[in-house]
Amino acid sequence: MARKPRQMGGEDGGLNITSMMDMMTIVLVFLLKSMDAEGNLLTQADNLQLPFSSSQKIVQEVMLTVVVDNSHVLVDNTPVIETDLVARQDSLFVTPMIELLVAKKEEEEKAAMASGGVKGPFSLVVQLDKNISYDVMYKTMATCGYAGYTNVRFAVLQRNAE
Amino acid sequence: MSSKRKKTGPGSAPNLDLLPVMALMTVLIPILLSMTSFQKLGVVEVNMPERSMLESGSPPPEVDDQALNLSVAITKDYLEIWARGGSLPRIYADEIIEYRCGQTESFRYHPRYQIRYINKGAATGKKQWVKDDSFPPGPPKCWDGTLIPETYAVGEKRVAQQEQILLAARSTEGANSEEEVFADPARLLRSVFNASDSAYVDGEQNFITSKSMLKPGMTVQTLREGSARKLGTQTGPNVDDLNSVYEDWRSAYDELAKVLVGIHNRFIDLPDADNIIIVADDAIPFDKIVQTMDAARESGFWNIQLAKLGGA
Repeated sequence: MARKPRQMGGEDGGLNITSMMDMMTIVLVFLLKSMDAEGNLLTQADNLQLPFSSSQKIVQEVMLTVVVDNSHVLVDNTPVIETDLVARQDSLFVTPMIELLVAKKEEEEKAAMASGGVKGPFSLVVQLDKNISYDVMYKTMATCGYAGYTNVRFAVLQRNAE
Repeated sequence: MSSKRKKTGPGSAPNLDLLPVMALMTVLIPILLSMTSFQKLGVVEVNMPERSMLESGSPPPEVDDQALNLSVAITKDYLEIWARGGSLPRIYADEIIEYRCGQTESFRYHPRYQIRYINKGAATGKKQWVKDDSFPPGPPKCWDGTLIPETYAVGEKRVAQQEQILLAARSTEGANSEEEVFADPARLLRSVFNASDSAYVDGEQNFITSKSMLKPGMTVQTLREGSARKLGTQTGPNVDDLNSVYEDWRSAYDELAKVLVGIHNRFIDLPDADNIIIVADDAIPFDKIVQTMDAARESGFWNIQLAKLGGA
């Protein structure tokens, strides 16, 4: 006697996907709720723990990012100097950074002139690990200011406000 | 001619073809996933002097005796407010670090006394930190005994994430020296917080120190402007108010904000009423600077400048 094939799901052998639809609907609603239509202009660097802040300001435009983690200072993703060396130096300005920052500023100036825009004030975003010492932070900030970037903004993780 | 159409009665509803909807969902979900931000990045701004001012040679601006000249000094052990050449009593504080190892429950570690605290109310979604008696005094360790290093090498996987660095305020009452202030763990001050982690104060701007001080129908507020509200009654719509509040260590940043709010309200007419200079020791971590900047900004001091102790 021939064995009757076992039928899965409904009469016609199709899968019952109603429960999967329910799950998908929940996921879709959740994702729609947490969607950020503005997109992320700023991405957190690796090996870095940013501090939390109640600041609700977000960046509109990021031309240049300086990252200071426990090992290196990076200008536009290029390692420039070890963080330890910055901490140990007496000078307020980090010389290897100045050259690179000035070059970047000149590039921005040229781009602004080519597009007929207004040049300056030049701004950058500094991403510092929450455990970086004030000394290193201050030297980095002072160097940025010396190179002509007077609008310095520190990246933070937004904490939900009351 | 008799119709061969299948009859559809109440017991045999026609099956909807959900496959196109599923296909649409399968496309939509990856798109939305890529646009979802689970942790939003923001920025804090500081005012920088122009290059000409940074270069030496130009004389420093004259000191205006009538100006507020407000500054906050941050050191390892205390916060101190200076204005018009005088200082207010120091706010002594201790660092308490909240760690999370992997996906496990977070814990707090008090470096000064090498104590670990666990959240007894974690299972019920509440905050109730108590001393972990099973933890022997020593450096911070995860639940599995892994030592948490102070620093990490490049590319090294982090053993634990630092969730936050609390700055717990200490009482100076009756103390004759700094040693006395820090000798006794019982000097750590307590406060009552709402579900949004804001400390409650009464009408006189005094911190509410115990949950037993809160009564249904009582008006409380936080340090934010216009935050006064009546606590829910046992029968009212906000009955959860009293259930969601919790006691925790009082933050030195809250103490600072309380004083700064008072100063800002009192000297609102001065031309530099919105200015503040944050001065810190070299070794102070960036996190403390950001939290102090938050406290200053929320108290009405929008124009924040940074300086170094010693006048650099």
